[in-house]
Amino acid sequence: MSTLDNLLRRHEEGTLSHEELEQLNQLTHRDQVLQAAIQRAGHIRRRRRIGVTSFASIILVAGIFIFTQNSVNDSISDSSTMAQADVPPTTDILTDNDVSLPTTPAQITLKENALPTSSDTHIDTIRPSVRPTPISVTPTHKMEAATIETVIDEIEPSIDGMPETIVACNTQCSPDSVINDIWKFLRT
Amino acid sequence: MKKIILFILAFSATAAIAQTDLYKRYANRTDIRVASVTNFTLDTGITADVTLLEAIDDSGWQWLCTEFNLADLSKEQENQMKSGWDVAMFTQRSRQDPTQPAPVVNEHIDQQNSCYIGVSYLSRTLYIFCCSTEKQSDVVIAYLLRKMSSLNSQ
Repeated sequence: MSTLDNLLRRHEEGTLSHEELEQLNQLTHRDQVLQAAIQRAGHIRRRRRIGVTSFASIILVAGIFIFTQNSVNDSISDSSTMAQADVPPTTDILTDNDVSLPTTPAQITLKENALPTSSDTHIDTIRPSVRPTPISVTPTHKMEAATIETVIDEIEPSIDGMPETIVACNTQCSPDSVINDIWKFLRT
Repeated sequence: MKKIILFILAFSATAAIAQTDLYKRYANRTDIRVASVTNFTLDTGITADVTLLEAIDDSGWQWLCTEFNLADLSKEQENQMKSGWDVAMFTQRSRQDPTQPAPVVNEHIDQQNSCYIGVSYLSRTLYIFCCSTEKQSDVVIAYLLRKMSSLNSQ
């Protein structure tokens, strides 16, 4: 039996001296303090338990949240990648529309100028005001309004090695005008 | 020396025969004026055979457009022509038959067997340049490029 129990029994019997009563009070107080300490320790333990539980819960919730967020982000990035792969982003479409909106006549002209049926064809426009300067035909040229049969017979190199220019036409036309027409076209 | 002269004669005759065929093909048409120029001097020492095909009336021009498969003009270009502007076109065709596309060898146009056609829609005339050598082709192309650049700069 402990001292406290003995004092408590004697306190109930009423046989405690003044000194023993003080000792009992001290012990009781200690016991109360101890009990209080024990209770407090229990609170702290509970609090710690609650804290640990809460902390674990928070960690778990945070982990779940982060995992969820990552999953969502992954799914978003996946979907955006797919969107980029399949369809251009909406902003790009808008930008393209903005760029292509002013369909100016100049652009149409360029496209239509490039329209010729064969790929090796080029079309351009000539200003009517710009006329070629009439040129004089090289004096070494020999011009004849002849049929093509006679032309073949007359082909031979000139004295200086320069072949002679021979003009044939199916209508009445001047050889000079034919030569000038060609130069007009080339030098416009 | 005689061999060289004979070679030149034979070469010139061959070149002229192709031009003769081209001339004969259209010589009898009354709606087309055909003019054949042999050895048209392009530059010093550089000549080429040129054939002009000019439509005298609308039927002749329609026939030329169909025969040479010329590209139709857009409404805008037609309006430009009505305002006095000319529309010029350059194309490369077969030397043997200028109405046909230029022969292609290894995905490139066979320059040796092709000729150059310039078309003036306003004067309704085709200028067919037949070149026998690479040098002739270079000069003709240079003229055409110069013309193109001058048109673009205007």
